[in-house]
Amino acid sequence: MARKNSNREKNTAPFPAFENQARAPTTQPLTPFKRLLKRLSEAYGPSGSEEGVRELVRDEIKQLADQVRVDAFGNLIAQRRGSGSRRKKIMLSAHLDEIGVMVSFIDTRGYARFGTLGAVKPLTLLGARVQFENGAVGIIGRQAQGAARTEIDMEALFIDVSGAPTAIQVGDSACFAREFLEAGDFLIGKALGARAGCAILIETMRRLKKSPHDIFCVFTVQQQVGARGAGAAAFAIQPDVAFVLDAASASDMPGAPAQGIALGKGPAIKFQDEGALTSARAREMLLEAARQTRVPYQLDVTPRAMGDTLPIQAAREGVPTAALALPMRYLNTASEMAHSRDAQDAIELCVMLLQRPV
Amino acid sequence: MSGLSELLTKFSQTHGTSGYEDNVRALVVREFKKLVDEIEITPLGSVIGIRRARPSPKSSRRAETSRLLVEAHMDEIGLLVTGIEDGFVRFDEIGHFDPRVLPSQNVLVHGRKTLPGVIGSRPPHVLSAADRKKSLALRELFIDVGMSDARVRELVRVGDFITIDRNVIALQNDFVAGKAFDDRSSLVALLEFLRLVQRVNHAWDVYAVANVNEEDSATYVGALTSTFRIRPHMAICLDVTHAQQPGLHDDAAPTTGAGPCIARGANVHPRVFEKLRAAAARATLPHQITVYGGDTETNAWLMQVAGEGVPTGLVEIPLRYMHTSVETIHLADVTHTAELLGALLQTLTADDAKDLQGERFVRAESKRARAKPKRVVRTPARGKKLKRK
Repeated sequence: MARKNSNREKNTAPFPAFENQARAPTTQPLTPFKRLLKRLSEAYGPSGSEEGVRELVRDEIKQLADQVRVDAFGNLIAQRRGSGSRRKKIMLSAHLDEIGVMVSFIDTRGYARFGTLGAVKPLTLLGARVQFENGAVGIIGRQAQGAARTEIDMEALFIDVSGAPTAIQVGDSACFAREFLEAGDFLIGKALGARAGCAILIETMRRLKKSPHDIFCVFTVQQQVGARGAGAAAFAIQPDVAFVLDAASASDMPGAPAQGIALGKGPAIKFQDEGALTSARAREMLLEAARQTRVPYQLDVTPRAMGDTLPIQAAREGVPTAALALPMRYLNTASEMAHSRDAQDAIELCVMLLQRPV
Repeated sequence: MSGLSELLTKFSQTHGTSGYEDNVRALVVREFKKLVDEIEITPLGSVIGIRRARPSPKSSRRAETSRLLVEAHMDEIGLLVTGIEDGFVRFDEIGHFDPRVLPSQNVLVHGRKTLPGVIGSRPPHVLSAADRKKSLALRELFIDVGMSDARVRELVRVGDFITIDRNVIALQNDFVAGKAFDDRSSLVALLEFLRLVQRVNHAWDVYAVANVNEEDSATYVGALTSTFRIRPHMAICLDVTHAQQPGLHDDAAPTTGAGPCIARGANVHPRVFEKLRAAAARATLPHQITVYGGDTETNAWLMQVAGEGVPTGLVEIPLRYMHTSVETIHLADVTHTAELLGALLQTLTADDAKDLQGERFVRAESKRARAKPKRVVRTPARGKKLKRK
């Protein structure tokens, strides 16, 4: 008999040394990979409204695949046939959607109330600019709650769209409006956790010249609101093995748990995702690929974040599924931060993973 | 009962948490080989043992033999290495322990070598008055394996699993106590059931399944996917349930030694419940009834919704002190569970499957609807297949 709802305590061990201080933004032109990442990061695409970012990805992936399709749920599936005699069906997935807010009520002056899409915290919303699909921009303000209040209730927040009150309707969604930034080796932007996975997947396909396997790149929708898209894709594809590309919360910050992963030390191979232990067999394939490429990697056991692992693993008769994650600071804020070397290492690892026989 | 007790001891003392079931799987395959016709292992690692129907010579032949699935989960709760500090191992949990029962336990750290260890804590002498009243949280606990930091780092890695090291103790009056009786006691009942039906005619194929990943996060991914693969006409989940004990005087709670519990509620198909109860009554087996409004917190919860939906039943062995290293059961409850399953299998006729598969109504004048539905062709099963020699 299993038990739900563990009352897990927060680990508040002393923080480790704070390395890799962010340097001032560089002015050099971005590399092609970073240009792609910039476009993806700045694109609009909260859960349920992924069409814009999906088209961006489709444009990139279509020259790299034999066949590209969008399924009934909205997942983008790019397929490349392999040449091996003992080829397997390998599925790699990254999610398109980002966290956001959805308008539930607009008053006559242009103040909108909203609900949340995904793990949006009220603290990170205060003063934020949000953008709608049609380009309209709103500011998140907070109503007076009495001077003594130090906590912020989601109910006390509103979107100020008084500049263009007719531009939005009830049911419209918005995401953070924030420019992508390169600071030294660090990459900073909104939705970076989601879109870095997409960029790594696209870049992997660009660099992968030949593979013995049939490869299915899946860009899933509605991950932030309960990992709802990935299962449908896995059910249709019936892969032999699957890998999820995602972000993992780093803990190389003041006050964070001592045991954990850091930026710049390689991509993280995850042992757990929300509701799922990754499959040992698939995890072993990642480890083997990492050993062959000699890229550094980290093992991530503690954080349990929302992820596409469970619905893929649970599809049909079961799919061995593992997850490779880009270490990331400040997840689910407007300034998610990653290390560019980790992204390059992840690409190298994925290319090796797909070249090897299974 | 000594054979049964030996088998339970063997299973209880084999180590395998959710996601790390290799040792238990090997043992299950070894035991299944003596009792079933075919063995399959699913992509996620669950073991399926198939005993084909042995219809009595008089019975009429059918195009498709009905499938009865009986399952228990083979994983146990355990711990997971999260870091090494000065040679001491820090850990998180797989499944849910009460952290208060962990200090002073013997454990095995399954690294490159299997290392015996103990969960240490600060001695009472050095505790402040306030600390003495507090229980320890998981993050405050650590494992001592008696090695230098460098040597531990050589042998143990983040992500290795840890289990409680505890031998089974025989108490008086056929009570036994040990670790992982959740759900290895059901696994033993499943094997005992297969042994009982070795020389018996039965009209249904039996799919005996040892499932992975029940204890982690209550997502039941092992049972969901193996049930999808088998597409059974009826499924029975075997698990354990809380029995009466000091501090738990719920009138509705079952008693150890008074027979297996047949569950009833939204998670259980009413006809499967009736068949189980009728089988118990006909064979005059002791049994109890447990009631669940909704989620039973067992594999049955997702087996019921696998594929097109599966008529599912749940039979539970009453157990005291769940999710501790001294889970306590009465051996007769295991035997009676096996006998109940045997009795059920023998009552199942070919017509019973039809009774459970739902119904279809067609409007008389509708030509298109009268056309026969296409036969669903079953995709060939993948995964390893071991034929019985």
